Amino acid sequence: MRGRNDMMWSLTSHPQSVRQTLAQICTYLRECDLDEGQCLNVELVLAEALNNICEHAYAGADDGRILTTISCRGAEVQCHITDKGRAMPNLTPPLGGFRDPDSFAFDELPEGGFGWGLIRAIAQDVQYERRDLENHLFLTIAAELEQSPQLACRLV
Amino acid sequence: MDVRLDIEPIPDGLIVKVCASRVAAAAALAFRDAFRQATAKTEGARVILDMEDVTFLDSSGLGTLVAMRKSLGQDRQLELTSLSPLVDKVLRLTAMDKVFAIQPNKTAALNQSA
Repeated sequence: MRGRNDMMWSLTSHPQSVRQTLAQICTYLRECDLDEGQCLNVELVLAEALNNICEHAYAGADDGRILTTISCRGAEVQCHITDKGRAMPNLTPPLGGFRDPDSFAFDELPEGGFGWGLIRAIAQDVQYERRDLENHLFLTIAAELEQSPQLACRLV
Repeated sequence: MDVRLDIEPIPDGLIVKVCASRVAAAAALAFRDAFRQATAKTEGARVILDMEDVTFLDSSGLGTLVAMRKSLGQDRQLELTSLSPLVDKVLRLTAMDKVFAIQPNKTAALNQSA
């Protein structure tokens, strides 16, 4: 069982590269003996964070470098993601709340903009720093303790 | 990006089965287009989206489900069946579960009259 060491992946801001890395990270998480629900939580948070880097930090350019380090501490997973793309607006990750769908006209129902809301609903801790033209994002995903009911109420 | 939908006609509409474990990022747009084509000539009929094989849905996948829902028009439902725990969670956290008619499984959906 090699799952206890930290693991680092170097990828590019290309959808195929993100997808392959996510698959490898999932394999690693299962080797860390995380349960399936926790693996999927981590995969979802990382998918949203990496896709945001591709779309916003690198603005769709597919050759930007991204480093992702994952540490399993028991059932808690810590992720550190760095890129050399544009800084986050106001140097702050978006709050990303969800609006009640009933407040939209049918044709205006949102087809995007859910990413940061999902990251914040599932990750227990989110920290961001801009250092020397690099973005550093730190995400902690703790083990699930029947957390869904109260999280489901996080509407804005 | 190749995607596959299986289309099964039922007396009052059709069941569209998503044949993939992930509805995410790159594949999301392809699913949207395939679904529009599959349901283009079904005015008024029921449309049941069978999600049994789908274990992973991200925000682009969710956006695709909403786009599918909108393509059917306001006077119809998009029925979703057999949601995995993560798919169910993504729908509930974002409150988008309110936009769909969710059935536990295909049998329950078929027992429900339109």
